[in-house]
Amino acid sequence: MVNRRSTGLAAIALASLVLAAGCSSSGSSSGNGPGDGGAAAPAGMLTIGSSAAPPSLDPTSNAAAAIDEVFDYNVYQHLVQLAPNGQIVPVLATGYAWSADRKTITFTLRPGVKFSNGDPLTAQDVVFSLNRVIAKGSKYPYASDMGTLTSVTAPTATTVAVTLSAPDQEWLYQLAAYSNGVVLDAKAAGSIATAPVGTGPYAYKSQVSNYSVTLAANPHYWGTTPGYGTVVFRYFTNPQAENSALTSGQIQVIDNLSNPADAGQFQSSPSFQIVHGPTDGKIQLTLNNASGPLKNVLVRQAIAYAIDKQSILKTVGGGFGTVIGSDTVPGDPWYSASYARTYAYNPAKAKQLLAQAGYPNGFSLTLTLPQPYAYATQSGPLVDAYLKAVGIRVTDKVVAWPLWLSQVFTAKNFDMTIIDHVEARDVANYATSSYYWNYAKTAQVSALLNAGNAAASQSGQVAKYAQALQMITGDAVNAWLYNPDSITVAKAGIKGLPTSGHTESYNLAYVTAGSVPAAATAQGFSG
Amino acid sequence: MNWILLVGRRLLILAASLFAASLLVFAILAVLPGSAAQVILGTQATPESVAQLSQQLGLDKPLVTQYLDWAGGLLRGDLGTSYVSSQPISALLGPAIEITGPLIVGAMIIGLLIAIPLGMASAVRSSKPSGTAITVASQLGIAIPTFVGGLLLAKAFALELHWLPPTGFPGWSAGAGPALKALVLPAVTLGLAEGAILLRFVRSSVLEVLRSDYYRTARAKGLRPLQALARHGPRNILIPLVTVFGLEAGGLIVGAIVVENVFVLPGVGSQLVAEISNRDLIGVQDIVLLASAVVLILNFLVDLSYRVLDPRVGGERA
Amino acid sequence: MTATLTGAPGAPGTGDVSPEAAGPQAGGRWSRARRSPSTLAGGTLVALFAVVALVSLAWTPYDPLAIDPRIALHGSSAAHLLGTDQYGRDVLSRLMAGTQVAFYVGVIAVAIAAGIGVPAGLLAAQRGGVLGEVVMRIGDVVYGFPALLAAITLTAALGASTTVAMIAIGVAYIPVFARVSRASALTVLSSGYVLAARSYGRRPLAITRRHVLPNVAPILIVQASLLYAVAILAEAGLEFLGLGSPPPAPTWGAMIHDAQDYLARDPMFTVWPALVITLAVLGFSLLGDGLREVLDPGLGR
Repeated sequence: MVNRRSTGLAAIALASLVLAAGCSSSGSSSGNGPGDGGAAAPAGMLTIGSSAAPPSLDPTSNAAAAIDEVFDYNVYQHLVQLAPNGQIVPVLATGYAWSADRKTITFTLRPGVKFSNGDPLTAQDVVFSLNRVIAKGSKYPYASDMGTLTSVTAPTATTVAVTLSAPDQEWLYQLAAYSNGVVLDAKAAGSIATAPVGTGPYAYKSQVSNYSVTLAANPHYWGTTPGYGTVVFRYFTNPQAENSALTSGQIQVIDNLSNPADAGQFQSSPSFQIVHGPTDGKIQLTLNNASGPLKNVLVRQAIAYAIDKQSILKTVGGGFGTVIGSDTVPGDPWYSASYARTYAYNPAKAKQLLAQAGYPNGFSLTLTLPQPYAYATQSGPLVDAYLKAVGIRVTDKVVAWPLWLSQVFTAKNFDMTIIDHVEARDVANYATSSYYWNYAKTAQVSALLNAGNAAASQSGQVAKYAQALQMITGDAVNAWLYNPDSITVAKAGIKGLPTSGHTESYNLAYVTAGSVPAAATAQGFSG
Repeated sequence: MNWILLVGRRLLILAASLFAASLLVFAILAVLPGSAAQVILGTQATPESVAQLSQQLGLDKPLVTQYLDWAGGLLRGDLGTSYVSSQPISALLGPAIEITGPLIVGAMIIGLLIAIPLGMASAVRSSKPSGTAITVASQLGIAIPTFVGGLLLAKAFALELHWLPPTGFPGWSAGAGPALKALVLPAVTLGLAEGAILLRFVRSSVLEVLRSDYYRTARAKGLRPLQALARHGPRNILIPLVTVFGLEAGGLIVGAIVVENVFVLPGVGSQLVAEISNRDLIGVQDIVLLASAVVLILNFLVDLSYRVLDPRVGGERA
Repeated sequence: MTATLTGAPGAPGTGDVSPEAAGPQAGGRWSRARRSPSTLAGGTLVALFAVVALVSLAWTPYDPLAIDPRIALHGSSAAHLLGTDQYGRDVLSRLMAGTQVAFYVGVIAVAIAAGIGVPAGLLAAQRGGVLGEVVMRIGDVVYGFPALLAAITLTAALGASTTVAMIAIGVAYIPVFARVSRASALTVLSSGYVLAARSYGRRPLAITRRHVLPNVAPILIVQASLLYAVAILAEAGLEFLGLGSPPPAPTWGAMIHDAQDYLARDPMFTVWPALVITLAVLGFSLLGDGLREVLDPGLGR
């Protein structure tokens, strides 16, 4: 509260009158809205509409994707990053080399890089940042993905050597794709929660809690000059209001359309463009493999057959995405389209399997749907109807996200749930014995994945991963529905937008009203 | 003397009510399942790191200690620190109140501007078609859900006519003009519904005055209806209005949550909903208690104002 | 949300039950009720909704839960009078089935508010003194607590649930029922025939049953009708915030919530449930108002 002693409406009324009459500026909240409706944003400013506001500014202590969306790649950069086309590209490093035993990677730092506060980037900053991930008491939400990291050193002023406990094919990908890889200014890291400092094209300027975050072009940026002087992320809990803001010109971009069905209203207009491409998400009907009839593999297979995934993709995903049939998406090296055909929609086969499993008259299950995820609450009624058609009676239960985490994810108290597993390359979840779907064969999966990660070549890794995927698909651990696209709606003429959703970051490095370098379009930024 | 005793007694009751409300708020939120630490760290975190963060945030302390920490802080004027953003709650709540406060006050003013003239007119013309028309309109105003009204107003004045922004708030630092412009549609949406409710109170109070002996006497002495009303009416109309003001405060706060959602304003309501979904419970406790406190304090003031407006009202309400 | 729909507890005049209304001869009031235009209009609307609710128990044009993605978002047609929603479900059937939910939310809210509020109010009136004072003061605190805010907090925290929300609204209106029943009970208790009954040695419980309840009942019917209106509106508001019934339950508020996303494509999809909510709220609130004016002129606000 501004005035701690006054709680009466009279005081608030007075304050508001003073504010209204005197137009006294309040120093704490910085106004950064795009101005009046209808009026075009001033040149050099881009306002992007998004759904969830970041709960904090620190990607290294909070898992919220909304933080990475703004800060990762834009404010903070990594040694290597994931380009929209899925390739690992050098950023703060100019290159890297594996040692012969494949346990050490040596990165060469890009010369002349400065942080947004003017501090030069040193090898010690990188050592500090990576050590921070594995330090005791680390709150990095993805720290466990870097489990094999044992030491980080700076052999010279321009190189950094990372040593792993065992060869790990996945390590470089995890460094590139997730916030584990952010490089901090060691001298400024103490104030990371309030004053983020990074080397990226944009620097943090201000925020209005639950409303907007403002970035300004980083004057010390080493790369291609950012396309806008100011970029504002504005947040909308109400998708309808977000669409209105775009049509009325208050915002120029919706970075990930909450309701894909809305794409239709923009597709037909020449003033807007739709840029879409795959994410790493797997929207799936998770089955509790330890709960009642779901223990039986025949029942799980029946459920997979009973659901028309294509129809769910069309109704809920607006047709933007790919039907998958396992824990893999088209961007993965081990992806195969054949999984999607394993359990093609076949209610007759489902009924036959249920009868074979000893349930000719079906049974009852509860479907827990997490709020506020529209794909889940919208898929629920469809899944209910498809399962009812083969004799499985479903009761829906909607729970808020924190409750989903405690009841479903932690306590494993559920039959079925619908959830988007957004993390890339997360087959390892099927190797985790305590994971919430209670898969019985985690040890076998674990052995296969370990063998894959230790493989000398990527083809060796892919072969082992494919075996693991065939196993979980055959066991119908879950009913995988589809891999959703990330859908950007933007005013026509805005270029350099990322054409995929492979990272939680919404990469603004090349977004511009001007022209995009050919090297960037080759990496998957829209031309 | 009597006055001081009376005010003192009311103050004691107010303090007891605030204490009871704080217990109620804390108890409701304490039984909620779901942990802030798990929400912060997400699904890839290890159980050990979740436990460690819980301890760091003080979520593993006994409930009594947690309550005393919170309530003690409040008494010292400290609203606490957000679990999630590590910022003081007061720094988050301040800017939000700068939006919701004016919104509610604006809606009240609009409501009164609608209710007083139209309510009087509908009472004076209660037997004529125009009076009935006003009454029917007010019934409709109450029956149309606020968010439907808001959607319609936004469609008409923002998306079709482009007079006002459809969403958002530029901040007071952008100047009073743009800031007030952004609040017009939300305040009108809330004010129309409020006006419809208040109108019925004004109408019935005026009807009562019209039936009263002193009004008839005034009319018999040759005063015109409005003159007679002006001489005898205000007090009789003000008392119920003041009462409604106290009662509606709670409703307006809730209405503001809905309207803030429709027009995407970063006010207290938006903050409440966001904090609940992050399990940032300290902030939630503060907001719900603040809302209760506003309602309780207003009702306390309303109680006292009865005595100013109408000395005949005794020490107790019926 | 609209506290004042239920009359202003504590407003001077609220407690003045006119002697005419409190008297034992209530027969003529119902015939007057039939001539009041707002009672007639409200009563007709409410009766219509009641009929639809009953019919929908046995029959709707289509199964309100049956999906058919092939015909999703079709406009009005001969087969689907009001069109189909995003899953291809029949909108008319869902609106009809939603009537049951609307009555259900009102029943819960009224049952809680009256079930606790009326006995508390009557007790306070009968016993008076310290007990009466304490009961009414507790009511003050409950009334000061923004219950709908609590409902929003609870449903947002726990997940969508109509029942949780309606319990909160019911609790919020306990003090209203307590006040109204206490006020009218006090008037009845001080009337001549009750004093006479007392002097004959009748027990308090018998007096309550024979004299107080019959005279308080009409006012409670009024309050219940108005609370129905409040409950339907509140439920719609919660649904709008996404905090109402879990899918696939056919509720009017949820239908608006879903339809909002298709506002640009097909506004009628939003208009139908909005219209139905408005009519239902209007019906209950007109009925309550009309009955109050007829049954109890003294409570004319």
